[in-house]
Amino acid sequence: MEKKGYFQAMQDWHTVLHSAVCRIKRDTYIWHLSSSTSILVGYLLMLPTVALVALFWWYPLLEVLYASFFNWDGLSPLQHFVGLANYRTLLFEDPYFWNAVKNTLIWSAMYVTIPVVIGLVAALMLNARIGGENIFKGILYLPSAISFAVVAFIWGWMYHPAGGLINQMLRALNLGVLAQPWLASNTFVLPAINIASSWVHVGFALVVFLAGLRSIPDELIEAATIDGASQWQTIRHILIPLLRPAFTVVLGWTLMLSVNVFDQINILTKGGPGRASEVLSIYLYVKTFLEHQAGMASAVGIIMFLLAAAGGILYVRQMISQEVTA
Amino acid sequence: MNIASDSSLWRRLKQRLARALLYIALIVISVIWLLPLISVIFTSLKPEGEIYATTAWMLPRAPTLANFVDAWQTVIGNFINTVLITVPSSLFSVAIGSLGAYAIARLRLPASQLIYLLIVASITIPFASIIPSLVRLLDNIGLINTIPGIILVHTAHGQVIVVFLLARFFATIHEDILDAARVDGCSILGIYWRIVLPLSGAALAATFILQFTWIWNDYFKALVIVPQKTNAPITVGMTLLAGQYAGKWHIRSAAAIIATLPTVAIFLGFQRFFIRGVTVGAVKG
Repeated sequence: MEKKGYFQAMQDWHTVLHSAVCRIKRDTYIWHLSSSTSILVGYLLMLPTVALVALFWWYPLLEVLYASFFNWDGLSPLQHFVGLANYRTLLFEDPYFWNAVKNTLIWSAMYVTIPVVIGLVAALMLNARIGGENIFKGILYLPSAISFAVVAFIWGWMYHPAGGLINQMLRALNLGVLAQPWLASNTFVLPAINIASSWVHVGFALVVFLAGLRSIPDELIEAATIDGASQWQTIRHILIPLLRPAFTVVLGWTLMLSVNVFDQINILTKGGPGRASEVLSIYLYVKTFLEHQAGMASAVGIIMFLLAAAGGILYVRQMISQEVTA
Repeated sequence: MNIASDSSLWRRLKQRLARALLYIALIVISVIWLLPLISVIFTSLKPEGEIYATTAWMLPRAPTLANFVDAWQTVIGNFINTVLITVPSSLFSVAIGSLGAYAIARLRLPASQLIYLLIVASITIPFASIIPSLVRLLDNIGLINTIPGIILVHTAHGQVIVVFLLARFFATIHEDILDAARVDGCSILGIYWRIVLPLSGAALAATFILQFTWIWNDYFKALVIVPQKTNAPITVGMTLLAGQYAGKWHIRSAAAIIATLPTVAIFLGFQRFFIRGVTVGAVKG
């Protein structure tokens, strides 16, 4: 086995995870199981996996759907059927719900632009096959190995009004007027936490885009260059269109993650100041554990699932349809 | 000097310049990317008096490891919890998932494609959206607020990625090997145990390491299932420090580094396995 760097491995891993074939080809089956005993053995092998996924993913999801039609505190049995009342309350009476939806959408919009654009630009730069590629890739990928709990801490310190690096740098550059209490500001809190998360997420976008770029045949680019296309024209009219599968994977996965976002925001601001950074997952968490309105929280959960599925369908469909690129 | 050489000189100069600009841009980005880490590492080495007196990017004047001693004594319990949660969860999820992946990838069973799709599609369910029901479920079986409870959830939720990766890998094992074993009288389980597993050591290690890292770094599941200090992992324990060590960023920085080092170390230590498992699956297929 040839020796490759750690970050090469990370990239390979992402290639497998995010652009691999999902469907197993029929001809890889070793048996056309005929006897009923061997079919039984086959299902028994699958049983623990299926039971665990069913019990801890599918069943809770279905129960949450059911519970969303009840007035429920989360502890007592489900008794008070209220039909669509929870949804009605959320959609038409609760301004905080719409605030959470708005914040989630703002968060998603930022999350599918900031890290994706930086990751794409970095991938295009690294695609030039320059020396030290693995070092640069490694540095940008490094935050992905760190827990979001720690990332939140790191950036909490970066954004600290007095001791934090960002305000200190602004002051050192005589830009002290721009210094902000970033996480205590209604305006800046969401972008600030999003930048902290993008610091992590760029690595993912980078490796998927780079794998996509490397799968484009060199001849195409050479042909374009011979035809007199400028560097920018090559990028704009050849590379970007051919990166479509990579875009689908990155955007689908990023959308799913952005609906899920919780850790960083909960640790840094708990949705504050006020409710300026309260996204749906925080809203759901508060409804469940602090306000004991689990029925209402369940309705929020179903809405979150629908939002995440929008990104997820993109992602899963791409995984199923696409051939292996590496 | 004739025109031809002039233009080629000009072109070479332009190329050099472009390359230099590329390097400068990449170095600037890299420095920006490292700054948060540098800031935390420097802060963790500073005595209390220095953290506000010096800027975050300045080296400590009197570097000290005392913060790490303090932090270690405070978070050791949660660190142990993380180990107690992470090791069994990743072991179980790989062991169970490898059986399922083998059946899905290698045995022709009615509806196995559908089952596979349903397992992989579970990746789209947000963890938050199942919380109300999951808490009740764990409460009913008496596992809420217990380490076995969170191990069970990690093992179950890990199936999605373990089955996805291992089924892909198992599908690449050459049929002739499996056919030969079958002709020699190996049973379904015998082939799994004697052929598939030994051939997949690297892929199993890679999947294990991946699970290990994700579970080690988990915060949300732990916050919902084991939120109390006595059985919380270090990611949750760190945030509990915030009150106790308000303003003591030097000690909390040390705790953050302690919480992060193991995942970095295990990745580097198992690099070889990691690469092998991943690339074999990636090159073929």
